[in-house]
Amino acid sequence: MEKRLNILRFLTGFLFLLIALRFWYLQIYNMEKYRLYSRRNVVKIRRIPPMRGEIVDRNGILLAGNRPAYDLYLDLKMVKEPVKLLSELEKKLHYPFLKNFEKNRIGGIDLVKIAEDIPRDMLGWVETHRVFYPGLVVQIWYRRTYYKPYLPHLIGYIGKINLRELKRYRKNGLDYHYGDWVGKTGIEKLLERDLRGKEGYIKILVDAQGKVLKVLKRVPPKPGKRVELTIDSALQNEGMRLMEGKVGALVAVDPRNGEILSWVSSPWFNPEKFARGIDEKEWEELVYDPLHPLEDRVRRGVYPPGSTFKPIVALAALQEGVITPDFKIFCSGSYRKGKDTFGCWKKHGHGWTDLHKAIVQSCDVYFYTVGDMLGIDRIARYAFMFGFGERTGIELPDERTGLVPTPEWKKKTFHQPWYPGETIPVAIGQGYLLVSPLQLARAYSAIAMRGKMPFLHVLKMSRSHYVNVPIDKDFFNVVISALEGVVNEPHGTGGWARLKNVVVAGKTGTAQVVKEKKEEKRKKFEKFWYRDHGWFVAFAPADDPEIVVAVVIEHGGHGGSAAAPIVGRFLKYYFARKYHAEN
Amino acid sequence: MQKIKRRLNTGVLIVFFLLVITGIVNIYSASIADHTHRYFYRQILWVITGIGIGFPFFRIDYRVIGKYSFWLYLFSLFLLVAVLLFSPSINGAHRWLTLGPVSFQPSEFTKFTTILYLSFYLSEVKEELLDLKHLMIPLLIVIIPFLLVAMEPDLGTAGIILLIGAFILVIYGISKKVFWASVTGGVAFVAFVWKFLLKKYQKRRIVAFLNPEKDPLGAGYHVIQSKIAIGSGGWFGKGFLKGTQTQFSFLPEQHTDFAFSVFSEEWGFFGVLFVLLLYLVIIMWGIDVALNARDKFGRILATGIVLHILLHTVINLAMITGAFPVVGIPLPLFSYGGTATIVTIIEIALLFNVDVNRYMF
Repeated sequence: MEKRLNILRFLTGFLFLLIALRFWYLQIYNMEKYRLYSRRNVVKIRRIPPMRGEIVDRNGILLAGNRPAYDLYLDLKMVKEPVKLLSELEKKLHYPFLKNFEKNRIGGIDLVKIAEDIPRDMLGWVETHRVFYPGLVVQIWYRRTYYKPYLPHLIGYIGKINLRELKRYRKNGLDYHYGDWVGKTGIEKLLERDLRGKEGYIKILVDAQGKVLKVLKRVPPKPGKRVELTIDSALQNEGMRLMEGKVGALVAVDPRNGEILSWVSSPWFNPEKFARGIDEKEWEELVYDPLHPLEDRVRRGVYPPGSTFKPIVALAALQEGVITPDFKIFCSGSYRKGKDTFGCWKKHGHGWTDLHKAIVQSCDVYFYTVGDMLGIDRIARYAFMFGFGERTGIELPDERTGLVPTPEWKKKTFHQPWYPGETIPVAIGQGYLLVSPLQLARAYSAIAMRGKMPFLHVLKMSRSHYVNVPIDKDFFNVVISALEGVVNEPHGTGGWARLKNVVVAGKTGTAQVVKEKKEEKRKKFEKFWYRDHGWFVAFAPADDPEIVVAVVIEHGGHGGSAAAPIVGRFLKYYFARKYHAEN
Repeated sequence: MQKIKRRLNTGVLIVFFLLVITGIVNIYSASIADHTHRYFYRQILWVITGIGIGFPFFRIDYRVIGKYSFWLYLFSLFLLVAVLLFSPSINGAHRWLTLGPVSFQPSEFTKFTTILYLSFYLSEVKEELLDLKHLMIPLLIVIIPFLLVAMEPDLGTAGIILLIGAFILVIYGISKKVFWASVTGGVAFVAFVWKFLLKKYQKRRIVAFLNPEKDPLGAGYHVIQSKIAIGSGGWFGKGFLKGTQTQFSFLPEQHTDFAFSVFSEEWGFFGVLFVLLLYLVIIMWGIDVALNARDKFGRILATGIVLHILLHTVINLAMITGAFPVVGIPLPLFSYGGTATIVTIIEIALLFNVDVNRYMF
């Protein structure tokens, strides 16, 4: 027996040694780790999101701001059977509380978020039934909200941060977390850093129930910067009113400094849907809409400029000395180049036509001739001078630059030489040429300012700067008087844009959608999707321009009838408002 | 016949009192969230009661006590049955017997009476080594209270009863052949218990023990918080009443099962070593008492008491450091609890009894 008791003695010593080693392992070997864990247990950092910067128009009118939103929480300390309570509430209020509860429930935390941004009537219900449901807690915070007139394509929208964005911002040393809202498109994305502001936090001492025992440190958040746009809300409103129900774009620019006054891409969408957290159904509706409301036609829609390109060809020809203003041709209704025949829009021809008449009545044959004389290289050079094929200066990086075709471009893209016959349609703005409404507005700003071409911008803080288009002022005046004729002369194609008291100068354009259609085929295709795009670009007053408006109506047919009336009404509103403001 | 009584071992007595006082002071810190300090005052009351009841167990010759051991044993079995029949269910278990203002845990008491009666019975057996036939009654003595406690259900305590019984039988009486046979049988029995007797939450505890980090907010929560409390104590601890794990209630069951985690957090590794040393002194002394006991009954009784204290200490400390499943075994003299504290003090009084009587001829 003594032997067995001695074994017990030995066993006791051994077990105590093991226990001592175990304590040593926890208390000494892993001391730092457990000290950290123990600190993390009691010292919590609660982040305070900053108020997102406001976005206002040129007059300080709020376009994107913040509104109070109410989140609903369940205090588990006050509720014995949360699931039972929540299913009862679900039946009463028709809201998926249980799903949120399961999603947001984390052990050790008593306050579980069960509804985000609840509607007013639910808030009212909760407030009046508080006595019966003491576990319900309402917390208020601010959320993004957009005000009319919406500029969803320019301002963009915000959404919950995704993994990719989170990684990118973190890599740049920015303190973002899951569940944060970030700018997804437009200005909201571009100026995310300025708009976001700086997060604040409170460092608190909590017990195991999450009760705050003491506030150790409080760092208030810094609200985001206020961003001023050059947009004029009233003009934007009018532009949207005019474009409602149409497919296309309207952009208004102050040619004197390149400030964009109005930015309408139609159809548009309600950015509030995104700010509230868009659901899958709404998202799919937007994405699969055949009219693509999410797409910004102002900076990303590119179309053949059609006849709106003719003044640029005219200026090129004048400056190059290829023609003089008095240069005349006889328009028979068609132009032959090699084996190909190119028709004028006016089948029976314009007869004897000089430059003024060619622009006013938009004679194709005249410009076929002039374009042929100029050649593609010179046309392209002047197109580039007027800002086609390159960025317009606006701050948003994802602008599409369209296309100015050159022989080099064709070689690179199609591995084919440039055929002389391909120059002819380019001269009237067809063929490969593609421009965005912004680019066209900018090119016409250059014409309006007699060669001083501004870079466009939408942020008030951006400085205006210019490039000079090296063309004689006299040539500009010749072309501008023709553009006045387009609107104001009896046979002008843009008569719909005429105003009583202000001289408007402008140019129509029609971009063909289906090329070289036979007449019968054309009739068959006379459905929406096969109709041509109509352009109208104008500036006013012609002698001292202060506004340029470019409008494209997709599948609107002829620019003179589809787009010119919109420009006319827009300008009328602009000048009437100005007149009222001055008197 | 000379009546030479050995002097009371004052060194061990001092160690005992040091342990008792440390335990009480620790309970003060562990239950400070309760501003009435009722656990602290009650524990003092239990210790005083324990010493009061323990005194006769020290003075009366343990052989006289042995003669009544059967009746004590029977009485404890009766209480266990009463608990099963009459006590209200607390968290699905029947453990407490309430008589007026006093609540009482018969299972704690039964551990002591089983040790007492088993020792007495074995000491009456003439054979040096028991074969299977003579093992039947000792086995029954252990298994009856085991089953009754297991039905409460209180598997921790039931397991302790079984373990103490098994150890006593291994040390006093069985041949090697029987030993290995019972090891085999034991394994089969454990499998049976796992399959049919364990409640779901008990299984979960064991599974969670194997991997507590997998389920940090469920079953593993206790162990993780306990490890954090112990580990963050470091060399010298965070100081009395300054343990954040304890004072901000992250640590569960602070004044009962995890009382020593509180101590570890506030007094650090040095404090732990000090208390471990106190336990080691008492246990080693207890084994010494057994070795030098004047008769077989004294020897077996001392061994049983030592095993009781040893198993509780080792299992509780392994449990709170995450080296053993959380089975609800309190740490003697450190965990709050009336019955357990009183019983432990009575047992230590009996150890002193055996010790002082060893040279009495």
